[in-house]
Amino acid sequence: MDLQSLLSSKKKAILQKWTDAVLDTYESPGFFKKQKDRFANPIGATISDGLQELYDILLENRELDEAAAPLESIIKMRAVQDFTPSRAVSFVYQLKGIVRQEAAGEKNSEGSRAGLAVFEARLDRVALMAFDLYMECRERLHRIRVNEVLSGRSALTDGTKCVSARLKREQAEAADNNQSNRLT
Amino acid sequence: MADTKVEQMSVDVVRDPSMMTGAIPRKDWMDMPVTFKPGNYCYPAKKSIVEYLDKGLPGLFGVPREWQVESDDWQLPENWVEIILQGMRERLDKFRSFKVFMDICVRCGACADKCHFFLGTGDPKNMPVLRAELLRSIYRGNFTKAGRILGSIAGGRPMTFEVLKEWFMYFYQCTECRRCSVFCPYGIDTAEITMMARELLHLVGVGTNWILEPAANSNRTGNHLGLQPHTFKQNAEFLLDDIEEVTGVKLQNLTFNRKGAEVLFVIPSADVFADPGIFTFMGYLLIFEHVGLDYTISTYSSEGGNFGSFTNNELMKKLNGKMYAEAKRLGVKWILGGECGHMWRVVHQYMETMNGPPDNLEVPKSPITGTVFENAAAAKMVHISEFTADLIKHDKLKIDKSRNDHRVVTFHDSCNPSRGMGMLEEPRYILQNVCNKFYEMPENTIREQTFCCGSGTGLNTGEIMDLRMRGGLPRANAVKHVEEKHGVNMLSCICAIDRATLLALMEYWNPNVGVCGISELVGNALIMEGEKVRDQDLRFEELAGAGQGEEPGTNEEGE
Repeated sequence: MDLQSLLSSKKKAILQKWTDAVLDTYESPGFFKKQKDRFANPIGATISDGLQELYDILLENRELDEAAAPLESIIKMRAVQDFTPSRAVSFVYQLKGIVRQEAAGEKNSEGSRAGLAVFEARLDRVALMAFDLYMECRERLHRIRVNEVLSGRSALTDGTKCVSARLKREQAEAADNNQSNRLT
Repeated sequence: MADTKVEQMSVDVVRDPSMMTGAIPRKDWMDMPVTFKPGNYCYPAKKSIVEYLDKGLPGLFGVPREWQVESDDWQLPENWVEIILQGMRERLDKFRSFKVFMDICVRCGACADKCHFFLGTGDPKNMPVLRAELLRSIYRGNFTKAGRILGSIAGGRPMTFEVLKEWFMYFYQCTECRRCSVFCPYGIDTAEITMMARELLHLVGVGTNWILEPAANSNRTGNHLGLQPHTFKQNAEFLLDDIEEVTGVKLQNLTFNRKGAEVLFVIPSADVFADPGIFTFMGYLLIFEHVGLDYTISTYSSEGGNFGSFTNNELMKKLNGKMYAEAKRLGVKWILGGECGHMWRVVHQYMETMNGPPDNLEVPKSPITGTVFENAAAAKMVHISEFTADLIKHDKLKIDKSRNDHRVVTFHDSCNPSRGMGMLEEPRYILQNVCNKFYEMPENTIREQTFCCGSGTGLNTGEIMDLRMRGGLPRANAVKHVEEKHGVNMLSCICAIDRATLLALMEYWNPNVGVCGISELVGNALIMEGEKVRDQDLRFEELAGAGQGEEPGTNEEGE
């Protein structure tokens, strides 16, 4: 069986293993695996939907750009949770082990081995995208911290955020400009 | 040269994929130590702030000192264990609810998966039952016979530094939102357990600066930012210019500290200086001017938010007392309160007991509609949403709903007004009357079951931004749903902490969604006497179309 057929016929089992493995990185994964209501269980739902979408993209040989959205949904969460950067993005690599395990368990694994290199090369690209997205999330978080400081107490002293203070400043500047235009 | 490590790794990967998961070992919860690292704890209170608070309420905030959370030496007093146990003993005697909540939990687990911090972290100590167990185990170990004799077999344990660290970690990962309480078959109010734990922590000088400094400011100048009267007044008056710019109407009725006004209006102070609260404030003023309310704002009781309620009941009482004191000094008939969160928990549940009854005040009666607010007969304080909804019900507001057509709105039930005082319908009634596009989030994320913003009870500080994003995940997840389904671009709420924290939350999770108070939307829609053609909203943003007027009640309803 070639790898494509293997990925397709064992989709359900592989996805289940992958999802379980990612949820196992949390301290109490039982609930995240069990609860099916997506609003009562945002981590479980986001991870299970995101991984399924990623898997379909890999299986159907779609453009890897499409992986950005499902990847982001998962990484956005893991970037603010209690993980080191490597553990936050490790879920992409976890698929490698699972697929290899499935391929090795086949009676005639020669057929699937050939496709493995290509599949893993694509997965590596997804992993690199994951690093970029992780950094984007962290940078966004820091920007939010800065924005919050700027919109807080400092607004009282420098007036940058107060709309009317800004308007008054602008009007004063405009008046000054008019004045100087007239003089010249 | 063959790389044996790579070869070995690839074998490991096939044999044991969990090698790469980094899964955390699972031990008994009592044996899992707490590790503080940047991003998971709030900065401790400054020495000068604790010194100041200690002058007014001696002994309640511990010994003033500089200390580091990550250090193993918190410079606690030698007898700190004794102080905690004595404090616990006093509170078990004083607060019957505390004693009952310590005894009656059967650990059924109904609350376990209801906390937004648990849902966002997966950390079992964020299950409300287990968080409470951090305190209950000390109660059992020291105050019950079984616990004293049998120790951990009876679920008891001694008070140690490790336990204190756990308390500081997890009782500051609870926003006292009370979502878990809704599901508790015994009605245990887990928020009150957190309150007790924080009281005990403060007794040994373990408190956060983001709570104690605003509390000190509120005590000194009347608001959490420490704004002095002239600054407070000036900031509010700046906003009158903005209103004039947008509507063409110069409002005349805003006064400060005016004796003899009928109503004292108390707001969360962020509404006079911080975006987007300032737009909510403009909304309040437009409503009052529209109906000609005789009101005044006090620069001394200029903070609805009660930062004392995050520390201990004594400071909560002291800060809350300013409202009645100012109402008495100014000789008003009743108090109207703005869109604030925990202020309403305090007003609704504790004010009457702590500082009441206010014999100088009358049962609130709307001078415009004649409605008597019987629900506020004891506290004498009415919520702005009750007041506005009553005005709309009696057809006292001229409204052009189309002026909010550029907003596709959803409503976040702020924890304290919804669960803390049961106000679920009024804000929705207002929204349905001032917006054409209002959509509800899913049923299990609103009303009594609303998810917290993740940053209440003094957790809205920058150093724990990661934690705030985790705690707010369930709320953001529900907003994402309505954004994708209905194109929602505005998250409305009736709480100042929400207006500040949901902003950061949305910036991270759903950057296309803004945040507003509902009075801002009312202000946009109000047709003011003598106004100019309105082509901008209160944020100076273009309206969807020139407002041509539309009769209230002709809107398509939300879901």
